[in-house]
Amino acid sequence: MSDILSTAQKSSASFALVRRHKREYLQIGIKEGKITQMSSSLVDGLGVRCLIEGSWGFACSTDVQEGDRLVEKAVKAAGTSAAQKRRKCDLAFSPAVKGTWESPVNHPVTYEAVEDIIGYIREADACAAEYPEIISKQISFLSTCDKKEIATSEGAFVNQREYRVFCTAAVTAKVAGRRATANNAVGGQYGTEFFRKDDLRKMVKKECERALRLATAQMPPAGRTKVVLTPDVASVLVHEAVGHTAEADVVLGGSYLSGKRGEKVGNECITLIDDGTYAHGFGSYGFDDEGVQSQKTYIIEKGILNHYLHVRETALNSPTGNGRAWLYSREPLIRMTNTYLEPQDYTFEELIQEVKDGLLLKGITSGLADHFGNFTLHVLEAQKIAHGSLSDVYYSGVTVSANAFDLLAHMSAVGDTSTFKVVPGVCGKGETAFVGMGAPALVTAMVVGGEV
Amino acid sequence: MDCHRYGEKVISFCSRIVSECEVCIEDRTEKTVTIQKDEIKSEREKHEITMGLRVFAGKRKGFKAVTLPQNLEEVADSAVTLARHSEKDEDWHGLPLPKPVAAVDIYDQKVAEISIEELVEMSTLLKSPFPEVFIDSARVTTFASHMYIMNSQEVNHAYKATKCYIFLLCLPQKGEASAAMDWALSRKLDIDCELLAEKTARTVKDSLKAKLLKENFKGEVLFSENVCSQVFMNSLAAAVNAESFKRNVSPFKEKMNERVASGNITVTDDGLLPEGVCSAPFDREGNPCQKTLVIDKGILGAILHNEYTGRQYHTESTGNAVGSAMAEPLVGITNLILTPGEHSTEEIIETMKKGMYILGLSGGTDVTTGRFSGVVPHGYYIEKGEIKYPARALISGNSFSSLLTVHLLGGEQKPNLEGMYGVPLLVEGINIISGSG
Repeated sequence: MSDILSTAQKSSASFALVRRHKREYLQIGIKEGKITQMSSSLVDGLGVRCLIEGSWGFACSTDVQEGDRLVEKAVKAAGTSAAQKRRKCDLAFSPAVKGTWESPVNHPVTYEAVEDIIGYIREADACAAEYPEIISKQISFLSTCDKKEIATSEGAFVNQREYRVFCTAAVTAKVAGRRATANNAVGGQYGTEFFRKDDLRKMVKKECERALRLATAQMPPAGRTKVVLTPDVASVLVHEAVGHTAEADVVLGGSYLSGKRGEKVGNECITLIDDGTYAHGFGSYGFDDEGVQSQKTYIIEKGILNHYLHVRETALNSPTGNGRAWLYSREPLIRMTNTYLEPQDYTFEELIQEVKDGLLLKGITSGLADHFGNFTLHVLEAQKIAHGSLSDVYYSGVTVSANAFDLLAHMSAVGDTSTFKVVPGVCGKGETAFVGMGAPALVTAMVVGGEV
Repeated sequence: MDCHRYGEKVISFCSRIVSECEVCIEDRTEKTVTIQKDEIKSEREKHEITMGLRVFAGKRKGFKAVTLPQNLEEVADSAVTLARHSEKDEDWHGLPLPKPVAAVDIYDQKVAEISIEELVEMSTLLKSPFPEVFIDSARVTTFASHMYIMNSQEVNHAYKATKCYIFLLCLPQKGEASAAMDWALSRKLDIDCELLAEKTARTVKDSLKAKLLKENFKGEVLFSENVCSQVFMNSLAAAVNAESFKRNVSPFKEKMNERVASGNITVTDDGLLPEGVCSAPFDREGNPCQKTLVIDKGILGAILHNEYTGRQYHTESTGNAVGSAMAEPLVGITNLILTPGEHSTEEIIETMKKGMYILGLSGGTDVTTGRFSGVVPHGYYIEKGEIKYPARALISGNSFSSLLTVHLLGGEQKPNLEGMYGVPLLVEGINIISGSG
């Protein structure tokens, strides 16, 4: 690394960053009770980023011996359009950290653990056998190990290991000739000790029961209604519709939060945090891909917009450690880490009573939002709330839509810690990133897209 | 490095320790210019060699994927270890045998040799012609790849391919119109950047004047070619996959040779389409690609197979093993093409009584049930054959039941990155819900 940096320092680059990123995956898949996937992959490469007269150039290769050639290419790329750039990049100061970090994992996943992992997956798979209406089941396990070395021409040198596990289950039920699929995921920064939590077995059971309900469920009636969002739905809303609007590159594009620092953007009960240090969080790390230490950032504190999320290029003074690159072949982008809404004091039962008549929204398939907080969530299942209690009426194929900042401004019923959950996710803003998303259950109102 | 020689060495090494093996190597160069806020942000050049190694110890399978160079013995050992941990698959009957493959036009020297300077020049054509709209972000990327497939049954094929992909996202300078995104794909350097930017920017400009609908109603919806792929082609791709049949999750499972769409719907999967975005002479397992008539005038005629499902169904592979070198070959589409109709979008709108023309859908489709719903960020309200105003709404429906009642198909056709070639599609009975909150 130091040889490559010294080549870069001899070039016209005012700043250079060299990143070696090695990622190993282990994937085990069981379909219909049979092992159908037993695979592993290794992605290893080197990326070089150079800044010349405020213009970035980047080159990368899987041949890690090619460092000097990559510097040459990155320098050439940076120079190509330097003259055309009106906005010159200027990096905020960040201490040249020398450090190491490793996920807080007890037993990292290795090939030696494969038999045990298969055993755990089979146990989970066996839960589905209790439901004769389940006609198809797929359970998969993924572990990743990221080894990163990051060095900058300013003297930073970071060595980091990130370990993650991620399990998914998809089950299909057939009831009275109608099929429906339910799916979900669990995971975090763990090793094989993850299986002692028993989350996978519980999840498979829950999804089987959900698939049975969905097979006979109708579409909900269309229109505006009061809803309770379970944490898996609320957390996606928080990430997609609020978190992204606080990313400084999105702010510069004129997002809803642009120019509102210090202003009220939500009710007093709203505190939104991005926390790269969250224990076992799917989006946690010690240092970002610019070599900046991760931190806990209060984006919204008691309803007031406090901070944006930054890379060094967008930060005026202190970057927030949110520069993340998916692989060696990508440049750091501003990405959330673990973003969550702080819990308040409503119990789940109180939230249901608060709604009186409406829907409880559970399980998520996808969520999208624009820069102004207008969002659409595609929810797996809705359960009817009647007279302040949960009924036995279920709906499927539910899309809900609203403006997140309208909701935050009027939100008053936010669940307590017993309703709070941080879930693992994969965010796709131009490139992929492992993230954590969290929220308590909460009450709001939305337009539901259903049957007219 | 000499990928062909390396692949042959891997096959030769693994053949000594396992019963069967297959290597896929992709040597790929990618050049990208990124635009942010109407200005070039960065230039990037990536060179990547990836290899996927599938080994079989009897009927036990292991798969290892790596970026190259790596130590050959270590990679092979790792794949074999995985195979030994796996379980016997009694349905496994072997890797494909060599078959002749046809050439297909998917390579352009100019794309392969484009310089970063030329790519920057091309990127500067991505400009919004409207002062009220700007390009928030865009990427102009060229790919040049060399793909090799070989196996222990003496399959040994290679091809070269190029691709140019432009993606852009436009936003309003002021006001609350939703972002509009669009893309263009080609095997050559023939994308009209100015037209793409103009079309995307216009979508945002129009939606600045968007109104909420006055009422909820069931009505006609004209899906643009992009949304057609998102809702209908996506469901079809899953439904005609032999893997879905085998797993009992396809709604077409009991409908072979029966009607699954209206008489004006014909769908082919054509891996040999000249310049097709997912065309290739052979698939991910080395079987020749082909043209498969999947739905003929509404009747389900065929499903898509790789070698494994083909043998399970006592038929031949249809050349539909898909995936990158880094992933195990699965069953999937090549170019899934909905045969276009003869009508222009304007002509179709003239036939509509009351409904919407939608250019984007922010939502999801359940490919098992076909249920879809979502917000229409960019659409137009239509009444008595005329566009009345740009409108926002929610819509919901079922893609499989709608396919049975397709009124008209448009003549314009556009592929997405997954190889789905959608066309404008007019269906009725869609729930159209006023307002987005």
